[in-house]
Amino acid sequence: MANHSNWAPGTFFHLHEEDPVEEYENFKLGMWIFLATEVLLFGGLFAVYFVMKWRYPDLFLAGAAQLNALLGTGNTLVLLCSSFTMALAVDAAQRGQQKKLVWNLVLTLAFGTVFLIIKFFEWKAKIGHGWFPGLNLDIFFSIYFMTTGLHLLHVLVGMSFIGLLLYRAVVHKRYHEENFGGVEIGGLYWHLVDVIWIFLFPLLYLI
Amino acid sequence: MSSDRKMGHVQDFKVYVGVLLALFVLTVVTWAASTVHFGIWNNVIAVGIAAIKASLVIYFFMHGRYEKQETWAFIYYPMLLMAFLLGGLFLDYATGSSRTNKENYQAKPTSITLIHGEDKSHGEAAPAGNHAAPSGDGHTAPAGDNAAPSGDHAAPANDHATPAEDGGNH
Repeated sequence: MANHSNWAPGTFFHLHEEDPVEEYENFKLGMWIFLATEVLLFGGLFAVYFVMKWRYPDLFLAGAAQLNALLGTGNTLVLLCSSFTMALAVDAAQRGQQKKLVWNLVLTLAFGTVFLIIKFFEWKAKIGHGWFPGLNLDIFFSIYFMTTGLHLLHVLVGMSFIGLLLYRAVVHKRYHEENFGGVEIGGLYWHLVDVIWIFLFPLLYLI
Repeated sequence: MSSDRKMGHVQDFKVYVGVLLALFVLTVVTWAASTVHFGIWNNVIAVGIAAIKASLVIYFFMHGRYEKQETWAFIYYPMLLMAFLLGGLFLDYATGSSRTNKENYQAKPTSITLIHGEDKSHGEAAPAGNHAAPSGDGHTAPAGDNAAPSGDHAAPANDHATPAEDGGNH
């Protein structure tokens, strides 16, 4: 491992001296810019959704009827709860409350895992019907697998990020009142995953 | 930015709980609105409620309310681009500019590739269709010879040319 002794604690690169507040602000701004590109990535898929829906309205009605709206609603509530605990984790880091930080990160990971489990059973049912990406799919299910699959990838990345935060919080006690930028960045990413699902859920499952 | 040199802001616990409850309620509202048929407006309602929920998450959970203008520029700009994209598509489709295409595509709503194949064989003139045929399935071209005469007059002539073309290419 690199020698961190001459680094300011908790900073990421710290290649040159910078005002900690400015560094924190820039750190966050970078994440916001990245999230903007994420919105555009999913935005293209949403555009495809609306164009195809206009062309094949019956197909989309039939497709949405095949999805389990109860599982979709359940996953929505689970993700909203995970966003809530993530926000509380950031809050705990800001206040320097170590125990609360760790437990909220654990809860966020737990909610993420519940989301994955529900998604697993949902996809299992679809694949059990022989609906699998690339095999005999209509356009609705192509869009369904593409959007939820890309979202699932984001859930996995977000959970890895939170796992890293948890490790650093438990082992290094790294986050406190003076340094919580990392938790906030992870939180921003996780909330974006939630925001994308907020749009995916009604469009795929309900209408 | 110059006045306070503090890192971030803390919110009251009640704010987080209130936002979570509001998000729950709006989820139920989304579901309820989807059970009533408003036609195309179901899409608008669903996206509208989702936008409110997303705004709550951005404003309170992501601490957007404390962010400076530079950050908000990066929140607005993807939204603006999305509005242009979706708004443009909506105008295009809602005003019927693409309706002539739509009627062609509406017939066989199973998969894109199939529909393109159908379109070529039925809708378009013979030369375009025959160009597609030999490249698509080379070995079935002789079988096509037998079937072709039952079609139109232009087809046999082109199908005779097909093996010759194949020979020339190989």
